[in-house]
Amino acid sequence: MLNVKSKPQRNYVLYILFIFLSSLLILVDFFSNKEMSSYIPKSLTFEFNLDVFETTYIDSFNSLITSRAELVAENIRLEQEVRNLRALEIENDSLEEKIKSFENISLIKNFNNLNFVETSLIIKNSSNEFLVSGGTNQNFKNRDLVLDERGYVVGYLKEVFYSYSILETFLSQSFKIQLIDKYNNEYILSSDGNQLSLYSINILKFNTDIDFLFTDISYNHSGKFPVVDTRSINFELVNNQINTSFNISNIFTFNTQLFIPKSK
Amino acid sequence: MNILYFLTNFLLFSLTLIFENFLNLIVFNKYISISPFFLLLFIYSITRFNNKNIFPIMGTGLIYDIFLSENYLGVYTIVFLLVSVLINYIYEKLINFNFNLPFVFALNFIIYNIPHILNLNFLYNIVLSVFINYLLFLLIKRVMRLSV
Repeated sequence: MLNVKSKPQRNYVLYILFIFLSSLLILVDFFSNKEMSSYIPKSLTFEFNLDVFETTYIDSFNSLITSRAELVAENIRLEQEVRNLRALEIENDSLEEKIKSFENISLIKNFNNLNFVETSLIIKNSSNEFLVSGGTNQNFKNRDLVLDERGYVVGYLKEVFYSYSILETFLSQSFKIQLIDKYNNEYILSSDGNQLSLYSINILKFNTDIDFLFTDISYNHSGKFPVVDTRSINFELVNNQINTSFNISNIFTFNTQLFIPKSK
Repeated sequence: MNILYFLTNFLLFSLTLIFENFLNLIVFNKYISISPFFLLLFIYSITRFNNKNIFPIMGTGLIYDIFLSENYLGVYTIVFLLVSVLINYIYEKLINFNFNLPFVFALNFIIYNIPHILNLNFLYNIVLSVFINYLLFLLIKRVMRLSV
């Protein structure tokens, strides 16, 4: 492009003349009540065609933009909905598992007198003790029993803090619990970390159909829950005493649902 | 030759003005108006200011007044001619300092929008639009290698 240098001022004269001419047009149009400016649009059907053009092409173009914007918005909404549904699916699976475990635990006898407070494993420490969620904030106390989803005792609370507690299980060397069978014979179950030792402390009546050793309310336990299945171990009376050792088999995992029974 | 010059420029101005209206229809924002016609007028008035441009500008103004405006016939004709003259006059004769180009641009953009001065959003519209249109002008200037 050329860089035009300064022009002589007479170049503007014609422009100014035409500006005056245009002013004259305004005056004429003003006094003719816009007859001049509306003459061509009125006499031509172009305005109608312009309307058609506007309504067809511009509107369709606008609707294209609008529909595209709507599609984008709908897409964003659907993406969000899919995310929500995925989150709901995960939550639903988790709830189904919980319902299943609650159904299992509800089969325990004397369920009506107890509330089962759900807890879960947080971490395992170097002393083979497990940290579980919930503590004094959920009214947990020392020696509270901890059950798995089948209702078997997996341990008891050794120490209770505000929001978590330490669970003593069969894997802990200091695990020790007093048990009873259906004939009211009394036993002590202890662990050395590898094996469980069971010995009787009071045998009143021995029979082969003992089947289970339970916790009992007389030991300040919250209820009667099975701990040992005597059918799967060497459970024989020798010299009116029972003294046996067996391997730890009832190991729970991080997926196991845990419950703490509390009296109502 | 003069007729051809008039016709081509008239077509160029008219189409740019229609495009400006169409563009502002699509970019429907009350605070921003993009004015390619003003940019064209600005470039022409600085680099190609000539009496031959009077008829194309006037013709475009009349077309606008007749078909696209509710104003009296000649209003936009005056505005376009006045802007064209003022751009050239201020830029070439009146002032000469470092930022004269943006100053001339802003001042004439305000004059270009005088018919909308009663609009309530005029101030915001002008501030934003001057900025955006000046950026566009700089872009065109760089692309076309204009020596202004």
